[in-house]
Amino acid sequence: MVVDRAILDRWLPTVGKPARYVGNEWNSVCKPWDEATVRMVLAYPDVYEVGMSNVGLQILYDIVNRRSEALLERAFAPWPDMEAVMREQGIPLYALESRRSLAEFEVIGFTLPYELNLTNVLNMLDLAGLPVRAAERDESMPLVIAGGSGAYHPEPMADFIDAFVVGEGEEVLLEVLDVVHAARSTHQDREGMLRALACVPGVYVPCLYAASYGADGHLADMRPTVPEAQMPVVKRVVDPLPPPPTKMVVPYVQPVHDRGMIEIMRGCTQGCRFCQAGMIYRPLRERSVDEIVEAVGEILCETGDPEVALISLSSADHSQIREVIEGILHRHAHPPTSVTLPSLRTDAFSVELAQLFQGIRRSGLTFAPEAGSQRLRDTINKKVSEQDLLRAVEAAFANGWQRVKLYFMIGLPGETDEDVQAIVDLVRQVIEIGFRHHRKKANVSVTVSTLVPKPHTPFQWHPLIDKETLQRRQAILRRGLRGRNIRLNTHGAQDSLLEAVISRGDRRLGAVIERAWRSGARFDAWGEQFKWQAWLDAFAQEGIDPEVEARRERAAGEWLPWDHISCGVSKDYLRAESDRGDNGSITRDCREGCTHCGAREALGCEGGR
Amino acid sequence: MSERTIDRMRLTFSVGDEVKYISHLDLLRAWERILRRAGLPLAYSQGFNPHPRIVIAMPLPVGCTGATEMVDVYLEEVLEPVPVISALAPALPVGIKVSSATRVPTGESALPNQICGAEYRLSLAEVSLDHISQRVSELVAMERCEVTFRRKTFDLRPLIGALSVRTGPSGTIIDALLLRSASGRIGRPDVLLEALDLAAHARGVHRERIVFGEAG
Repeated sequence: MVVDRAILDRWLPTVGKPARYVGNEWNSVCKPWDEATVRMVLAYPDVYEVGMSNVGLQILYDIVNRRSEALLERAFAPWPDMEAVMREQGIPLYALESRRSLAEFEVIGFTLPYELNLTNVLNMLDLAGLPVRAAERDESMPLVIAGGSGAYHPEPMADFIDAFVVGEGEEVLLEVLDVVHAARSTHQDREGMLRALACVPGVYVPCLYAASYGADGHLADMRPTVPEAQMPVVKRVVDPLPPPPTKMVVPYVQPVHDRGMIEIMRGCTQGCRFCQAGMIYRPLRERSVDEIVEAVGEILCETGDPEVALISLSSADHSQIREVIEGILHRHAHPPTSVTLPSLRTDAFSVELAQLFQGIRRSGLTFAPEAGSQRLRDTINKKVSEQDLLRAVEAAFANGWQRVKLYFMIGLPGETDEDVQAIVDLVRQVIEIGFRHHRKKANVSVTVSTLVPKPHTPFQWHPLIDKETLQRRQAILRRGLRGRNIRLNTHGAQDSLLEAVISRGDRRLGAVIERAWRSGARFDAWGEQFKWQAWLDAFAQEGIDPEVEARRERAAGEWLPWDHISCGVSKDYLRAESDRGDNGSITRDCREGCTHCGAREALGCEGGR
Repeated sequence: MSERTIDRMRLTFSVGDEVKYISHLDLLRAWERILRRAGLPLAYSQGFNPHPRIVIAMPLPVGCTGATEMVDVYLEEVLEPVPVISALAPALPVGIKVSSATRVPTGESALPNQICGAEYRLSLAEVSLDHISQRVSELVAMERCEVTFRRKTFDLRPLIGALSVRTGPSGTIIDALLLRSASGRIGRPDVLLEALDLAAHARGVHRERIVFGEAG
């Protein structure tokens, strides 16, 4: 069913930002429905403005739509005002390009970027008129797949998703579409198609694995139940990186990151022990200066964007970052083009780089020392000294920036109140430097988030900080960081708790997620939408205590709910890194020599430049 | 204004159904991108955050299509209208068409200040012609008509230039001339529909023409 334009015209004027629900953007691709042999919709479980800032979505949209026989459209989570209209008027969730219900596609592919938007996945399936549980869907319905960082710890969503695609999607997504097309054209049943998918490297079909639980109630084991199911499922990587997309969709509704994007490298060599992205996106692969400069030129021409962001996990680490920036500014000086580097390192070199850009001074420079004391920075393997930070800040203020943003975390392993006081002392030193250069105009914005231990990181066994300690330490920050020139942001205890439980949960959490969604949980990451009571009730009804789950230290030998998924980095390496963290030992950047995490061997790729 | 501005070009364009839900600010963003894709020599402000000078005649209410919208674009080169139109053609998204380009003296007052109002065509359905005519007569007969828009209350009556009702191809049409006051207040078609108590019957609002003249 194609949603009637007249009914949208009747109701869209009554909702906020109606252009979210219309499409027709520059570079969007509307292929004839009947000419495609396999049709997929990429479903992003957050609002349009957030989803359209995601580079992964633009990459897959480009790759699939280049194929003549395939079609890839887009859908986003409708904001609650639009959801109410859709439910009242019987409008199904539709793809922006064809205005067809999601139920008409052969494949619905969700991106799972974050734990706190999983309820939106269920809501989007429901709005398309589909059963949220995979077991209740049949051959007449779309295959529901999911990728993104959430696919590396998929168990909480195992009840809802037919197949997870683990790792980088550029190649494997096309293989998945081939399997779906073959299954559809031979009228294979659902089980047959799922078994065929399970044979594709990197694809995890949760219903083909059985979980067993120990007497202590913890997960004890995950085993395949059919020969096709891989054990472990090893993530997919592409090496070298394929050409970046340049004909990117240009949103009309201002996206959260309003600029062109080019991924200059993938992977990160720093080895910060809390960072999931740093572990799961190994190995490092860089794009060459020529390829980047050339692609930026194409992006500027194809989109008309006045600004382009050089994205990666740590862009200042690109081995030729200076040449990249100079090349772009030289080649694309007219009309004026802004370059941004969203992830600076905490050192004077980064400030030097920032000086090369135009148009950034207004927004302030951001540094992430992550911990206040040297001891804790050693624990997390953040190789930044107090001197590095102070030099970087000095350089920033001296070169005209009046505002510096600092990121820290609390709840780190082995943390004491003194370590938190060290954040206060460090910020005080920073603002004093600011005063020296700009008097009362200087200001510092400090964000202190709560460490949520993540799967596939050395901290995956660690407990979430307990509520009382968190409150006490946040109070230290609030007391110490008063004043007009300092702005302090901290994270809510409840969202961190929920994120901690979901990110390390096993498949029994599916029932909790479903209950919370049925009681109205949506957009859990959006402060005012967060319905904590719905979650508390759902946990209680399923007999799971979130406090216990989040704050339980996992035993070294315990089977973790993501142990059947491999990102290449071995569990032994993560354990060794955890121990080194406890001892305050630094592990070198892997550009300085391999640290033997296992990724190269497991993934069969060299990486590097 | 940029020191390098040496020319000003007025583009007349239409806004179709495909792009009618874009907000005014987002349409400005879209124009910057269209003009950059077209490779036109936009004049940028100086400083750390250079901005092109692009001035739209009158915000188009969200959900409204427009037949002859206008935008002034400041350039740092003198160009003839025809090549400008050719350069724009491949850069325009579906739903936006440019019908003409005209050079305008750079010193002329800003485009929005030259506008005194606009003509709208409001399509209505599932309501009788008689009922609409009666509502319109009542409104026209009023001396004052207090309305509230974005939490501000004001008198809509002096912003109504002309109102007439006719039968259209599928329902009834109100033709409305809505004015811009000297203080800058603009008569809006959605506010008019609210005042007529007909908003629930609206099936499309189209701006036919922007009217030049001194605001009253």
